[in-house]
Amino acid sequence: MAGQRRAKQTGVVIAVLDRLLPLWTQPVDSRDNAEAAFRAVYADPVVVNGIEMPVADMVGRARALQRAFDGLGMDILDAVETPDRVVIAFLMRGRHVGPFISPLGTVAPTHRDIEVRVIDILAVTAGVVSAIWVVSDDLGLLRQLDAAKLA
Amino acid sequence: MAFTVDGLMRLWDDLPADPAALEAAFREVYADPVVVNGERRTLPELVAMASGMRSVFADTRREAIEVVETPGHVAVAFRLRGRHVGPLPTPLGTVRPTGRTVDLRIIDILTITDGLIGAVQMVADDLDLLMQLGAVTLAGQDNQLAGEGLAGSYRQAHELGGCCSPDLLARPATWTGCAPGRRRRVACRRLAASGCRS
Repeated sequence: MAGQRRAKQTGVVIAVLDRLLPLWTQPVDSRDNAEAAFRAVYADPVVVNGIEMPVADMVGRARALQRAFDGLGMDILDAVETPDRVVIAFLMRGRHVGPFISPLGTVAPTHRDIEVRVIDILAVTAGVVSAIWVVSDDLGLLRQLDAAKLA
Repeated sequence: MAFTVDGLMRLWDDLPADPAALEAAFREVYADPVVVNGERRTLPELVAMASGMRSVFADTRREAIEVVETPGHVAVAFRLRGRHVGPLPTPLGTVRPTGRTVDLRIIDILTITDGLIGAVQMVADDLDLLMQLGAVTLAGQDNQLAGEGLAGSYRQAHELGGCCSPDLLARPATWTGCAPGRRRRVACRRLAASGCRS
């Protein structure tokens, strides 16, 4: 697994990130019970960009991400924390080694190294992430894979 | 003037027409230079960018959907709605005006120093924007889903959580329950383009 580099954070941010980031960067199927591991961090369902998502779907997303990208790592660029919110801007890095299911369709492996800018706003309720607003630079990712063009 | 998210949204929605007034309004909110995603931008550069956007999108309205404030930082997730009325420069090329109304999701993390925005980390969902404009497609892929045609769209919509009923593949003329998740929307949009109706 690639390492996680961090800007200065304390308290809530570290507590959440220590539990959350490994779920996405360490192989989902190396865990005895992946859904239980995700439920220890996320409410079930968790609200993602206003839509309820069962934890099982989050596990599926993580599995699909790890199938598409090897050596996943996150470099934290900035973080903001309050008692019930954690905001992180980060660069997700990895190598594109498997089918990547993008909003435009599936992109065959290119074996390129990629870097994607992402910002998450996490709502933390009773110690778990209950809601997420997230925007990632999917267009930038597809451009790095030479996989998008104007229609 | 103290920084407020509402004030920032209003500034970008209602840009002063007069260039001097525009720059003065930005100087009340932004430091010069301001660092955007790690790159230094002078205030005139930022003003020029804002001015350019005015000719691309009309009737813009920004709506904050989540705000997190601490001393020195403000994070805001917001929606930008507007009508695409002018050439839109993108990293893929220029998109001619479509007249379509778009709804773009953006998150900013603002660093506030002495009441001014000194740095911004921001991500906009530019891919979704181009998809709303019907302006982007996969390129150079041998096994892309788009190449699988409608069956691929049905399969994707189904796999992404119930946009389509389980027997959809057997009944390609109908499709129901299309929730507004992004990937689901994409698949459903493809289905709609194929003539299906929700």
